[in-house]
Parts: sequence; C-alpha cells; structure tokens
Amino acid sequence: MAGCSDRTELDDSTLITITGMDLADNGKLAVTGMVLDFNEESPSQEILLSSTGKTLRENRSLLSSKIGGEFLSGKLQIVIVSKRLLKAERLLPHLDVAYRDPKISNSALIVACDCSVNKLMDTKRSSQPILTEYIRKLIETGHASEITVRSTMQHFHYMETEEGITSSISEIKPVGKELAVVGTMLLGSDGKYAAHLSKEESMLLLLLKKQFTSPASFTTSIQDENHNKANVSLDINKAKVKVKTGYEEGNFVFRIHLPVVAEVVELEGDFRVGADKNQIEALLKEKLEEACRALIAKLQMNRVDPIGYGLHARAFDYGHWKEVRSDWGKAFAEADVKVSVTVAIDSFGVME
Amino acid sequence: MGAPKQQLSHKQYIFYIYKTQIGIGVLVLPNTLSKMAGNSGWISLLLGWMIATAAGYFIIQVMKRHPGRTFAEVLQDVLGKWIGRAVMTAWIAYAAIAVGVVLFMEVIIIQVWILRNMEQLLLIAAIMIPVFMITRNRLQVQGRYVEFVYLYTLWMPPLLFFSLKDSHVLNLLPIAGDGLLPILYGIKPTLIPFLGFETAYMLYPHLQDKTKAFRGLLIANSLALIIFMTVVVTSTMYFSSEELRTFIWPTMQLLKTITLPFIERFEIVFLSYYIILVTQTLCAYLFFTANGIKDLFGLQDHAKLILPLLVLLLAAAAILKPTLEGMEATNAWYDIVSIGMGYAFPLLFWGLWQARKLGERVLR
Repeated sequence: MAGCSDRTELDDSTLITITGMDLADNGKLAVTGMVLDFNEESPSQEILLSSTGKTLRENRSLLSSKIGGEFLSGKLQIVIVSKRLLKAERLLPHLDVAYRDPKISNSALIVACDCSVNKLMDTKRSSQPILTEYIRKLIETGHASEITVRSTMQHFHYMETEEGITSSISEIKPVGKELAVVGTMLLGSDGKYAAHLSKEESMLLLLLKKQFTSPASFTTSIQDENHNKANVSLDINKAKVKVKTGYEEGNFVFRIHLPVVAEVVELEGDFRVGADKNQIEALLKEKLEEACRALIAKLQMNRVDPIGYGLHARAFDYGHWKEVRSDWGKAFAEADVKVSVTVAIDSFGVME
Repeated sequence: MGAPKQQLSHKQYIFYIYKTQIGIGVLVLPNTLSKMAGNSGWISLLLGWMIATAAGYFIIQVMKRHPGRTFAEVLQDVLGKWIGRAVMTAWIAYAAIAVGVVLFMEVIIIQVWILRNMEQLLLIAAIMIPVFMITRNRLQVQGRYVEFVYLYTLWMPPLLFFSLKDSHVLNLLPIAGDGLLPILYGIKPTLIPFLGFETAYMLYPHLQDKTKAFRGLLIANSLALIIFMTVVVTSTMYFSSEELRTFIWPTMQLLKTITLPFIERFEIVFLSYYIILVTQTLCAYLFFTANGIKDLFGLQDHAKLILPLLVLLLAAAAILKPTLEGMEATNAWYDIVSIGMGYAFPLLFWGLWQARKLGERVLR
C-alpha cells in the first residue's frame, strides 16, 4: 500500500532514549546519546555514543552515522545537561529542534548534572539496570519524596518563556558507583545557572510551589527557654499557600501565609507531644518560618524566582508589573517578602 | 410551492451548524486571539459570539418572510433578477473557496503532525471519498451524518481538561489589563471560527419546524462558544504568553502534553478523529455550493454536481500545491471576505429588505 511504503520496522530502528549535552573544550556542543539496542546477540541493552558539533541536530546526524538502523528520537526520555554548559550558555535555544519537531514527545525529563555528562553516563554501576529507566525512577521517586523538582521539556519551555518565573530543574550526581539526586538547580532570568538548592531546600520550594505530594517530611531540632531539647520529624499532610500581593515604596510586597497540618512521626528528646502540643507547635512554626525565610533570602540573593511570584505581581498589580517585567529577577530581589507559618499537629502516632 | 422534499429536524439543524463551525479555527484560535487580545481574549470571544448571533438573527428575519423560497429565489425577490443572481454567484464562489481553504489547511495540519511523507494529493483524494459519499445524498441523510459526528466526537473536548493539573489560573488575571482596545481588536479573529451559521440561508427552506429556526441557531452558536471558550481558557492558563504567540496550533500542543502510561503523543489519536469532525465543515460548504448552483440554474438534483466540483478541487490542489505559508497568505484576504459574507452581508441584506418593504408600503 502507498501509505505503508515509508513504514519503520522496530528491528531496523535505533531509538535514542537519553540525550546528554555538554560543552566541549572548543566551545562546541558535545552530545552523548544512549541508544536502545534491539540486537539479541549484543551483551548490553544500551549503547553509548558521543559526538561534537554545532547544534543538537547536527550531532544527531553525527551520532546516527556511528550506528546502523534508522535513527529515531521520538522516544526521548531524558535530557541530561551539564552544569558547565548551563553556566556558559542558555539551554533553550539548543533544544529548539526538540520543540519544533512535533514527533518528539515533550514529556522527556530535563536533568542537570554536576559533572561531565560523559562521566555520568559512563559510570559503571554496581547493578546494571537500563540507565534510562534508572534515572527516570530516580527523579520520579525523588520528586515524590520532595527532594527535587520534576521538570519535563514542556515545563522547561514554559518556565523559560514565562516572564514571571525562572526555571528549576532536578540535579543528579554520581556518588561512588551509583547515581543520586542531590537537589534542585535554579536558572536565572538569563537562562543560565544561578544557584543550587539542597534536598531540604527543595522540599520547601515544592511546598511553596504547591507541588508537593503528601506527606512531605521535615526534620528539625527544637529547644525551649528551659533548655528542653528534641529532634522532631514531621510529615506535612496538608498545606495551603496564601499569597497577598502589594506594592509599597517602589517595591513589590508579598505576604505569604502557610497553614500547615502535620503529623509528628518522630520526637526524640525532652518533650511530651500530648502535654506540650501547643509549645511544640509554636516552636515548629518558628523553625519552619526561619527555613522559609532563609530559602527566600537565598532566592533573592541569586535574583531568581522559581516559585513564580511574578505571576502574582502581574495578576494583581499589572501597572507596576509592566515597569519591571523585562527583569523580574531583579525586581523580585528587591521585593519585600514576609512568610508566616502556622503549624497544627493533627496526630502523633500511638505514643504520647 | 409545496413543501421541499428535503427535510431537516430541529436537532439535526442545530448539530449541522454547530459541527460546521468546529473546523480549523478551534486549533488556531488561542494563537490568533492572544496575538491581538493577550490574556483577555475570552472577552473578545464573548463579543464575537454576540455578533455572530446578531448576524444569525438578521438571516432568519429575512428568510422567515419568504417561507418555502430558496436562498437564490429570495435574493432575486429582494434584489431583482440580475443582481440577485450575481450575489448568489458570489455566495457560491465563497462557499466553494471555503471548501478548498478548509480542506487544504486540514491536509497541511495532518502532514505536519502525523503523515510527514505522504503525498499531498493522495491525502486530499482520500479525504474527498467520504465527503463525496455524504454530500451527494439528500439533506436528510446529511442530517443523520451530523448526528453521528456529534456523538462520535463527544469525548474530544473533555480531553482538554487533562492540561488543568499544570495550569496557572493567575494567567487569566488581570482582566483587561491593557485596556479595552486590544479586546476590540481581538474580536476579528473570533469571528472566523463562528462562521458556519451562514449555512442557515441554505438550510432554512428545508427546516421541519421553521418557527424554531433562530432558537436553533442560537443553541448552535452557544455550543460552539462553549468549545472555543474551553480551548481559549485552558490554553491561556497552560501556556506562557510567549508560547501562545509562537505555537501555531496551541490546541494540538495542549493535547501533546497528555501522557498515559500506555500511550504518548495523544494528539495523533485526536487528529485522526478530528478528520471526521472536519468532514462536516467540508460537506456543509460543498453542499452549499452544489445546492446553490442547482437553485441558480433551476436544475433537478444537486448530486450530479458533487463529483465535478471535487475533481475541480483536486485539480486546483495539483496546480496550487498548497503550503502552510501560502495558505496563511490566502487566509489573510479570505478572512476578510468571509467576514464580509458572513457578518456584513446579513445586516446589509436585511437593511435592503426592510427598505424595499417600506418602499412598497409607501407606493401602495
């Protein structure tokens, strides 16, 4: 049939599942591709290829010349980008081919790594699961336990093109013979590397972004005026984020209220949850507020707004927003952000 | 005169207009609208709906005073024999070009999104087969087909709600932040997708219950409004304003984000069913053309005209070799023509009809 003359046989095709992007020493783009191998006789299920060229598309042609079969990028699962590239250049223009081609699924995850991409993908892992699945699971479970964000190509495009928000992507790193999620990487309004958030900070980021899947765990140590000490672990089950937007003395003002409903899952120390509940709640409130303030201060210092307060500014004070829309990162850095938290403990297990 | 042989029930009439309106516009509207009106496009859409309904009102007002007369006859009654015929010829040309524009645009979309390497003419010919088989029948059969299309594509609009989990309600604010002017400019792109109600000129003589003609048109317009509103609001909430301006088919992009554990690129499934949806738009305008020619020349049957018309269209495709760029240039002027035919003409024609009626009364 005429319609089937250009069909693609799975056996004859080469599916690229991971694209790694790094900065080569000559300033060109170094691309590493992980390719699924359908040949029954080959020992591994994946083949690692690398090349260096001007653009992603040119590299694709170079990669495909190194392996037989029709080269297909429609099943792309993961895009890994090195910190080195993110520091030097804006990522979005490099990915143009992936957004322009309707055949490429935009659900691939974007991951940053704090080492060279080649090293990461070539790490000899102690167990040998398929790397694509391995990284995907790492990010999915990392996101579910609130230690990193989960950004797909589609999200990334949104964050980069939206004026009122800056990008945040998950970050991984080889640790010994394994890979591990180390937190979140933040990009500035110029699209280049701006800051790194630890796993704990990532949790708060997700909380403020309203992107957490309950329960989100938070561990801290509390101390009252009588020097009673304790380490507390919380499971945050419900949290709302209420943002009030204002404008005072030339700067935006954001008042963030965060009512948290949490469960005490661990309490080692001098307190009794039953008797000291109100006191513990008050101490936890302070700790959470402190942590949130520290996070916001860090974001402002680096002039990034991964939470998207720019959307609030635009929605509620369009007149003033228009003056700062071209450089929202700077305007956010000068904004007055106040965080207040209330903690309500709704359960503490089977012990007082 | 006697009642025309071809009859359309009230429900069929509503779906006929409604499914004619859902065509290419639903895929491009968020893009064209946001270029003009930013995030307040939904207000322009409401205004567009009002204008479309008003135009529909004028159509019915004129037609209901000439029951049993076809559009070509009413034109000749009001405007005189020769001007009436000239205007009818313009309408036939307008509808014939509409078939071409919609068909070529659909084929280009299919080529971009699914069948990259398929021969264009083959695709056009393939789409023409069902269009031919439906349109050569009586209007009653076409009415049944529309009911089928309605039921068969009922599941499609709710798919848009998949995007809601990643959407940003704040994108809809501020309402009319840039003032009234962009909203007014935004009305123009909303008028195009509502086109389809002007087929009421041709349908009116064939209605079973003519008293409900305007009500049916209002319902059809409102059903279309619900679809367009869903598309515009969900895409405004999902995309950044820059994305809305750069994605040519935001609705497709929105569907692309649907990923289920067992299927990715859901827009392919969507587009396959969308072909069925567009056949109705094609059938309606093709029937308008064929039926118009039949009435104009007093022929017995429209069925014999369908095949020559489609062959002409295929020849046009072979000569013109439509491209996306070329179609955008064509749309630029054809949009203006359509607004003239669909919106300005009903008002003008109603005005002339009123003037003539007044004149007759004075003379008497």
